[in-house]
Amino acid sequence: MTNPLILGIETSCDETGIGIVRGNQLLADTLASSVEEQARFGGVVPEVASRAHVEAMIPTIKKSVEASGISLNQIDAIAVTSGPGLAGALVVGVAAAKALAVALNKPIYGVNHLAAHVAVDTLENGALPEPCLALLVSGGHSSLLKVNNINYSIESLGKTLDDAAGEAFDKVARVLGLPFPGGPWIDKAAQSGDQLSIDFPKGLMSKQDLIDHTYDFSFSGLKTAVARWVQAWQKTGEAIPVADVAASFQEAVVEVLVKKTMLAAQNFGINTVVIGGGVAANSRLRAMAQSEAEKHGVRVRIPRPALCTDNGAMVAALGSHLYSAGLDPADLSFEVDPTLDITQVQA
Amino acid sequence: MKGPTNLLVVDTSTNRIAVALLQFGKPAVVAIKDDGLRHAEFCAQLIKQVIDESGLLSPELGGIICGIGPGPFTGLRVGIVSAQTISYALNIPVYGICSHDALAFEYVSKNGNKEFTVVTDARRKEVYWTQYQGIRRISTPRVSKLEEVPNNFPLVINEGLDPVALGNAAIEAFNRSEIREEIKSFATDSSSGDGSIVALPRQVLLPPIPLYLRRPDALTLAERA
Repeated sequence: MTNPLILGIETSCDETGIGIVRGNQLLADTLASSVEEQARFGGVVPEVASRAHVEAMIPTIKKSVEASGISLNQIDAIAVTSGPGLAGALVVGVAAAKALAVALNKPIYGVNHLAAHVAVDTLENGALPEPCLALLVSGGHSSLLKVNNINYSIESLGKTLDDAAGEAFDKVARVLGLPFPGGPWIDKAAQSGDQLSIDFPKGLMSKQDLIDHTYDFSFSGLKTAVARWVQAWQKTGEAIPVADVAASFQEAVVEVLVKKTMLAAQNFGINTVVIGGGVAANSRLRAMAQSEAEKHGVRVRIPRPALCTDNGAMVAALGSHLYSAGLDPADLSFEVDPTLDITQVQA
Repeated sequence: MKGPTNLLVVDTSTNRIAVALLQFGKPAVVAIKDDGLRHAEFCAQLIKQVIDESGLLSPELGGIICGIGPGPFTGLRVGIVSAQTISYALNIPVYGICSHDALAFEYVSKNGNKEFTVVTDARRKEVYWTQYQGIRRISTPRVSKLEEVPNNFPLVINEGLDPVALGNAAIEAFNRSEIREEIKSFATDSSSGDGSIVALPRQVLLPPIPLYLRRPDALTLAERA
């Protein structure tokens, strides 16, 4: 079937996302987030996220089905994130998806969350050139991928060795007294700051690191450097120059992400890069990626911010690709896998 | 719900994944798997198994009963979310039952009307417990160390929940006119705002939402300060 009707369920972290697509056409993308609840804790608490998923699941499915204008019985298949992610959160989405599959007697696909972040781009920008590169940056992941075929062949070129980029944004925001989640607040504060004012370290960019960890990332040292700089500044008794710190920190993160991505594009002779994940909403990352891509003759594809952060549409999009390619659905007993490797596109 | 015909029963509050399909005038079809860490893997498969074995199609289900705990949360949520989702997809009613009620129902059917305390594993070296007089719950479910459970009644320690007993407890409740009243929300502890149960209505049929007796471990920023 060329344009299957797929319902996608995403619960790998703190967003309950339900998306419905027909082929590459997005019909509905509904989200319930526990981010406000999580903000009380200063970060994502897995048990809080799991409880919120249970509460949000049926109302969110209902809303999505209504918004799509379809009836549930018309769906051709169900797709659900089976990993990577928080185990307790994944379990809620997978249980709901399997129950839908049993009730409606439809096939089910357990899909890889990271691959879904790549697949969602096809809803806005059409088919993916093969191969292409994908830079996925969020609070839980920082990965550079070579996508040979979205359905079954994705290679990991590099990933973070410690903190994810989004995690570093959250932690630095906390140091600067900015709210959770930190990404949008750092981005906003950085608008009026000077990114050259403080020379923060750029992880894994030394000559030797570029040999040993060519496409890997590291943001833990940067985060510590910011914390130490702020601590030292506090001793002067002067107000912390939040905008300058935010801009310099953001520049250090973005520069590493973009440089390594362009290096991979050059080395592999690939001229299309997809950027996804919550950090893809960062305005400096979007701007620098576009300008550097132009210099290197590379096309950058970034979905709109709502499709960059976790959502159900991305899961439905990948399900649609798998279904259309005639790949076998999962057995009902497939497992959630909190550390699912990117080489495994489906459960 | 049109009586007890074609009633799907699901409970994942213990190490056992317990599923049954009760049909009027026919023996119950039961599917059980004792694997405490794999509820999400097998619950749907067992549901499909009982539907298939009964010779029914899923749209022929008339209602769902799910155990709402108390029980270890991750597994507990699997049965409840499955029940809620099937209820939505097939547009049939779903009711929750305190899982200890099923263990009490089973105990009473074998031992008669006595006073006793149902005890199940709560992990972290603690237990969930509820006191009963016959099948009537006379205490709110609690969580504590085993040695802190009141010793005025005999303890009924049972991890092997029988889904047929859960279904029968629901049918029994359903047939008693006084509890056909509209199901009200749990009384929750508004001060903590985390949905912890402080009082459970006496009625047997309850909303199909998890019975959490513990709040999440993490402290809020305000509490840490």
